[in-house]
Amino acid sequence: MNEPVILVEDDEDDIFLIRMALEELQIPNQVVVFRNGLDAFEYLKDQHEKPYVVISDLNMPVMNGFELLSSILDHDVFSGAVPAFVFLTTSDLTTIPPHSFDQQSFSFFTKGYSYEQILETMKIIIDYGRSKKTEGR
Amino acid sequence: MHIITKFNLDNDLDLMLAHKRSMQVAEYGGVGLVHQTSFATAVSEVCRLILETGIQPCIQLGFSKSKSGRNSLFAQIVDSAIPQLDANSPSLVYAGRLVSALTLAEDSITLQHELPSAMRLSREMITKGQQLFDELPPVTPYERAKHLNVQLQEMAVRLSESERRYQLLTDSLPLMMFTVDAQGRFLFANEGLTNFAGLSKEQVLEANWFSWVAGRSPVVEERVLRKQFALGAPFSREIELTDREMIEKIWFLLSMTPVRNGEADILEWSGFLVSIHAQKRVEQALRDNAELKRAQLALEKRQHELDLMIQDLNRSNEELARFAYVASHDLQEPARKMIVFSEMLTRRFQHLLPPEGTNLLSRIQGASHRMVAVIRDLLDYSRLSADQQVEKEMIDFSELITQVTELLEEQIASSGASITIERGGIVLGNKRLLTLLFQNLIANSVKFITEGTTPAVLLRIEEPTARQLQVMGLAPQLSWTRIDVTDNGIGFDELFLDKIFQMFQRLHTQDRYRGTGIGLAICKRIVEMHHGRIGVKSAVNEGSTFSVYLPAN
Repeated sequence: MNEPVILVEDDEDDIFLIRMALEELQIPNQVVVFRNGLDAFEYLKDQHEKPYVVISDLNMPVMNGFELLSSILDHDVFSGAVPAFVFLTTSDLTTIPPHSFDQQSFSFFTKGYSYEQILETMKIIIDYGRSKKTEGR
Repeated sequence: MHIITKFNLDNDLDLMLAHKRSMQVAEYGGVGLVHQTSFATAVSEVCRLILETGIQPCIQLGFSKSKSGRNSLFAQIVDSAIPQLDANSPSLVYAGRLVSALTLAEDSITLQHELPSAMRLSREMITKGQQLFDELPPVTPYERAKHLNVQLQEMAVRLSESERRYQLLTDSLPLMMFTVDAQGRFLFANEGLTNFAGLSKEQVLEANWFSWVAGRSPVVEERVLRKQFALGAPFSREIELTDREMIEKIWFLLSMTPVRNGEADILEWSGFLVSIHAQKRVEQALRDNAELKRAQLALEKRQHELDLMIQDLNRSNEELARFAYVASHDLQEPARKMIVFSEMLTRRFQHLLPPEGTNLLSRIQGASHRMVAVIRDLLDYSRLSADQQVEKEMIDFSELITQVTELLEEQIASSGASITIERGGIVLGNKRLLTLLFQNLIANSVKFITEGTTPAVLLRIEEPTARQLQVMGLAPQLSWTRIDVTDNGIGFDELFLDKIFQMFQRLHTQDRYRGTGIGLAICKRIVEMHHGRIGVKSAVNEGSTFSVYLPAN
C-alpha cells in the first residue's frame, strides 16, 4: 500500500496543486516527481515493484506522456504487469492517442478549473490506483 | 494520182484560169499543142456546166494512171451538186469526146487524157511541177486577189480553231484567266472567271475588271489597281474575294503580266486568279495553333505561379493555425492557474479580506474565466481547417441534440430555456464537429435573449426547396438536408449579415452579452468542412433562424 505515487509533470504550479490535493486527501504514499518522461522511465526501469499509480502530463519536453507509456510497455518493465497509468490533460477535447495503445492500459483526466475539481480528480485517481492494485493481486 | 495545182471555181474569170492552167499542166506533161487544146477545152466545158449548177465547186489538175494503166493528164472537178447533172447534156458529151476518158461519180467529174508513151512520171517531176505551179505568176490581178483571199480565209479558220482550243484549254483549268486592256475592259475571260463572277461571256466583255475586283474585295480599291497598271510591271498579290452569293470570302493569288506591243505601249494585261484558300486556311490554322499554344503556355505558367502561391498560402495558413493552436494551448495553462489560485485564495482567505479585496478578487476571476473562454474557442477554431478531411457518419439528430443540451446544461438550467425538436431525422456528418456546431448555435440562442424572456429554441430538419438551394448557391442535382435553429431572442439587423460569421465580430458589448466573437466563425467553418452552407434570417427583437445546409449523401 506504500508504493510511491509517480508524478511526471513539467508545470511547477500543477506539481504544487497536486501535492496539496494529495496532502489534503491524506494520502500517505511518497510522491516521486519527474520533470519529463525520460527521467521517469530511467527511474522506473530499475524498480522491482510496480508504483501505486503513475500520473503523467501529456506535453513535456524530451519524452512526452505517450512515449513514456509506450517505453514502459515496450521494455516490459514490470514483467507483464502494467501499473495504473493516468494522463492529465488541459483541454476538454480528447487528444487522440496513438492507435497502438491498448485502451485498457491508461485513463484520461482533465486538470480542472478549480481546486475543488482537482481535489475530486485526485480522489478518483487514487481510488483507481487502489482498484488496479487489488486487481493485480 | 498526183495533184499539181488546185483552186476554187467561183466565176467566169476562174473558167479562164481553168483553161489556162489545163493548157500549162498538159504542156508540162509533154503533150503536143493540139492535145493541150483538146484537154483544156474539155475541162473548160465541164467547168462551165458546173459553174451554172454547182454549189462550191473546185478543180484539181495533175497526173494519174488511166484504166488501161497509161500515164494520163488528170482533171477532177469536185462539187456536191454533181448528181443533179444530166449525163447526156451536150457539154458533157462534147467534152467526153475530146479526152480519153470522162468519169461521172457521186461528187466529182474526172477527165483523163493519155500522155505520150515516152513520158515518165517520176517523183522529182511531180514535186518540181507542184513547185512550178505554186510560183506561177498570176494569170490576172483577179487571180492574185483570189489567192490572197484564200490564204486569209485559211488563216481565219486556223485562228478560230486555235482560239477555240485556247478557250477550251483555259475553260478546263481550275483557275480564272482573263485578258483586259489598259483601261480594265475585259478582252477575254475563261469559264472559271465567268462562273465565279456569275456573268455570261458577253456580260463579262462589257464589264470592267477594276470595278469588278474592287466590288468583290472588301479591302482592295480600284485606284490601287489602276496605279499598279500605270507602273507597267508584272505584279502579283494575295487577295480575298467574295463569292457570287456574296457570302463566303475566298483567298486568291492574283498575278498580272502586261502584254507589250514590241518595246512600246502596253496593249493589254493577261492575268489569272488562282485559289489559295486551302493554303490560307492551313496557314491561319497553324497561326491560331501557335497562338493557342502560346496562350496555353502562358496559362500553364500562371497556373504554376498560382500553385506556388497556393502552396505558400497553405504553408503560412498552416503555420498560422499551428501558431494559434500553440499560443492558445500555452495561454490556457496560465489562465487556468489564475482561476484555480484566485479561487483557492477566496476559499481559504476570504475571511481575512476586506469587502473591497473580495470584489477585486472576483473581478480577477471573471476576467480569467472570459480569457479561458476565448482561448477555448480559439483552440476549437484553430483545430478546424477548411480543407481537412471530415469523417462522416449517419447521426440521429435527437441524440446529437441530447448530447449538446448536456454540454449546455448549466446555461439551459439557469435561463430556463426550452430546447424543442419539432422535426427530427438523420443527419450525415462528423459527430464531434456537429456537436460543436449546434452547441454554439443553441448557446447563442439561449444567450442573446431579452431580459425577462425565457429562451425557446426550435429545431427542425427540412428538405430544402430548389429556390433555397439556388439562393444558397448549392448544386441542385445533389441531395441536401436543411436544419433550422429558430429562437425568440433579440435578433439582429440583417444589415450585419456579412459580419456575424466573421472572426471576432460582435454586435453587442461585453457587459450586455458575453461572448468571444468566435462562435459563429466556428459554425461557419464546420459547415464549410462538410461542404455545406449556413444562412440566417433575422430582424431586431423578432428572433433569428439559422439554417444549416448539409449534403445528405
